[in-house]
Amino acid sequence: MTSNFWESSHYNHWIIDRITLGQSREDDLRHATAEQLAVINIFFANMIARLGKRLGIRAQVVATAIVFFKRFYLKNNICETDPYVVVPTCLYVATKIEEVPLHFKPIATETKNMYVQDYGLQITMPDPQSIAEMEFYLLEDLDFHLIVHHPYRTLMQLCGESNASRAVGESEEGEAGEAPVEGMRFWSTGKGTLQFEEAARSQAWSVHLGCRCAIPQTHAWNRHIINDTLRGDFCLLYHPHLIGIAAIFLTLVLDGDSRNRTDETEAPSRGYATRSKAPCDPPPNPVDFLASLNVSYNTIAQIVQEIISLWTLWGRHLVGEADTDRKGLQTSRSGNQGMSDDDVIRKLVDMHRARKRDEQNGVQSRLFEKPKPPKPVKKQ
Amino acid sequence: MAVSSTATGLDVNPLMSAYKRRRDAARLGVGAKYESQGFISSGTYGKVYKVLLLAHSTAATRAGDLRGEPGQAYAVKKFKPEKEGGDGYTGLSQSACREIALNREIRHENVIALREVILDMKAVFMVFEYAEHDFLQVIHYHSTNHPRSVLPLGVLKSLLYQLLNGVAYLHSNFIMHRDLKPANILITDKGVVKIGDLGLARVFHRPLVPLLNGDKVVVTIWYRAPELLLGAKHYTTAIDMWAVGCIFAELLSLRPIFKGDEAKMDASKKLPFQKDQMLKIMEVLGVPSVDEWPLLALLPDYPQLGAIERERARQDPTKPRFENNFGTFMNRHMRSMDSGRAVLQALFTWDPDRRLSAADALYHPFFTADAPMPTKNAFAHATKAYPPRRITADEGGLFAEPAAPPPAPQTNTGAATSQRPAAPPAPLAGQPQAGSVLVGTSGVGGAGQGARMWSAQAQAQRGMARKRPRLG
Repeated sequence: MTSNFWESSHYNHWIIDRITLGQSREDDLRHATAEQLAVINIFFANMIARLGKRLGIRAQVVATAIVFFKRFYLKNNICETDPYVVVPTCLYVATKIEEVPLHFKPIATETKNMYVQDYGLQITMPDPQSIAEMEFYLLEDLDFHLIVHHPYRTLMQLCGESNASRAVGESEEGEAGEAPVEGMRFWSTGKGTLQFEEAARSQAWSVHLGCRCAIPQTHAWNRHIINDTLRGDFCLLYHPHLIGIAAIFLTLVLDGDSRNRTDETEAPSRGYATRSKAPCDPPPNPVDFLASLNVSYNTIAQIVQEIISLWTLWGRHLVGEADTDRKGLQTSRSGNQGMSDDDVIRKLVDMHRARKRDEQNGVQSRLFEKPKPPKPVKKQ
Repeated sequence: MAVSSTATGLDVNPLMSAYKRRRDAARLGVGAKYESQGFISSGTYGKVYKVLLLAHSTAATRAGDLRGEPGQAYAVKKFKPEKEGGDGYTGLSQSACREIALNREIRHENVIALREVILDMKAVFMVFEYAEHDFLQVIHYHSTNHPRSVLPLGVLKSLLYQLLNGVAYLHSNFIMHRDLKPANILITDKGVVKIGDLGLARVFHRPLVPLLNGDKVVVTIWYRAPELLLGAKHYTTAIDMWAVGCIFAELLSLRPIFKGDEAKMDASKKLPFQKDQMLKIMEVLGVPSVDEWPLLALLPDYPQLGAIERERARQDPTKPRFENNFGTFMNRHMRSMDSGRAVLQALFTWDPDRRLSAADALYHPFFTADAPMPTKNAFAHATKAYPPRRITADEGGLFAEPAAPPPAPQTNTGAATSQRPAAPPAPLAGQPQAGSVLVGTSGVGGAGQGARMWSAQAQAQRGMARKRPRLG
């Protein structure tokens, strides 16, 4: 289903547990450490975001492409496939699914430009044909489950339409028939939305993110946290609304001022449906508001923990970011011990070589068909 | 690094060629799972075949697939590989992508179920549950069989109720169908309505770009809502409800209520105003007024209404004004259906914001209070058995490797169903097709005429159906 998360292919087939996730990486873990794999994951998520930026594609389309990429590698090994072909293909399919279709030829051209200019890659460039061909195989490995639920929607529902949509989707035209979505009735009281004040602040944020540039708006923070989660495995492990709530929680924690200035307003009668929000009585109390949501705060705490771990990991390494000029980033981080883009690229070559050696020595990769993801319990 | 011009695609990449081999080896093709029964219909998207499931393939192949029974009938929709010449891959069309993506998510008794998707021979095969009948076929059966007979009220009401039930489900999932018409609404042999063909459908919740940026033309002309005809940039699920109204009327009178001629696109590539279609609506419903439709005057093609009225006054001075003749229509076809009149009238509300919604229609007394009540088996009140779908010889089409067709003209990706050449060249009285206006290049019998039809009658009209005894 496209509106009810609990009926969706995302919920029913693509939320997995950590054990399954670990099993899916057994082959790659023979040739790389868990941390290296995590950095490789960040590297490719960044790469998809960067390609999206070059093509002028919206954040949500990029997010869908990254989820496709991660799902593909639940069933495949990095050391046995060419991720440089998978990257543009994921974006190609995502543009069609998100109804902003692009032809694969400009995508191929831009991919090549990016590989050469931004990464200095010396590989067989994926030609348009291989992207078009890869699409078939990608669709198949995705089990043709193409509609992806993102935490952005939770953000828009919980933080008020107008504010959040400005942050998430820029212009949102032509929508119709608003109503609560994503099975929200299961976990939300349906009363009130959080109103963040959109004040510019940056210091605390850049500290937490190491090198990240200043982000002017609280809502932008939320969004950036959500974008950051796409660098980890969150979209495979947790329900999107929980990731969204964790992002809101983190914003409140990290940005003390915004906590004090947050308003809770009661949305008019039909819930989240209306744009014109009548600001209502109750005093700002985001703690009560978050507590009123019917979600497990153990899970939220776990997600928050993992987001912080991701930032720590990310901070240790030099993998580039789509938002930042690569050169500036590299220099600002010089002296760091972690992996740079170039290190990741070299590591990938090593992994492919090592896997080939294994193959010649008759070592089978264990991943031909991944174990089926177990059906998760109804609520986390 | 330059890639040689002879070898392209995944095969030149040693890593990916190994991956590809592994996947290809693990896959069962459509011919290994199903036995072809013959050809059902063809359209711009490709072809539909009837197949029977082979006994060894009843289990679900991948997560989300449906189990089957040995010998169970399915309709396989084979998408044409979109070629640009040569035999390479050219990417899946937007409409195929949509249809796959949406059908994999939805499940409802009144929406056709997708069993599985198979990639084989560089083509996409969607395996749908099989439906023996469709609305067009039922309408056609009543209008041509002698003596001509109307649909029994119980059948009509059940068909309509189940259609509304499916539409309400789609709308509650933020899906607009955008191509509802009799040929796309199927009925199983158990009398269960199944909405088919989601190739034009899309999710409308928070679109990233305005709906109009995607598909310039939606809904087959005869079923197209006035707001679309008048050039509305923004539209809602109400366009589906207008189409439901047209279908309701067609079930009553056994012919399309607003049978306008489609204006083809001229050389300027500007979307033409569909004057004749608007005229046909006004001949029945009269002229819309700003009183009943407050936003009417803001629509881009609103001035065209005045032009139509002036032209009418010039041509026929005896009857210079459009009258509302809807009462006449209803008197003729709905003599004993007082609540039914209200439903039809509410579906033909000019103002899309006030038009009856599918969810509300389901609770209308027409369905909930007045006898006969809708039945789960729509044929429970049927006075005759409708003939099964006509299946014609396969001609090896389903399992054949794609032959190299003449290179198709490539157009922009914006138009959903329109960028392919017309299937049959013969001019025919079939139904027009959504999106066909964009391809108005070849004059008579141009693009899309009668394409997308699932019905056997369409084939018969086309003169290409060869009757063959049904197997199984």
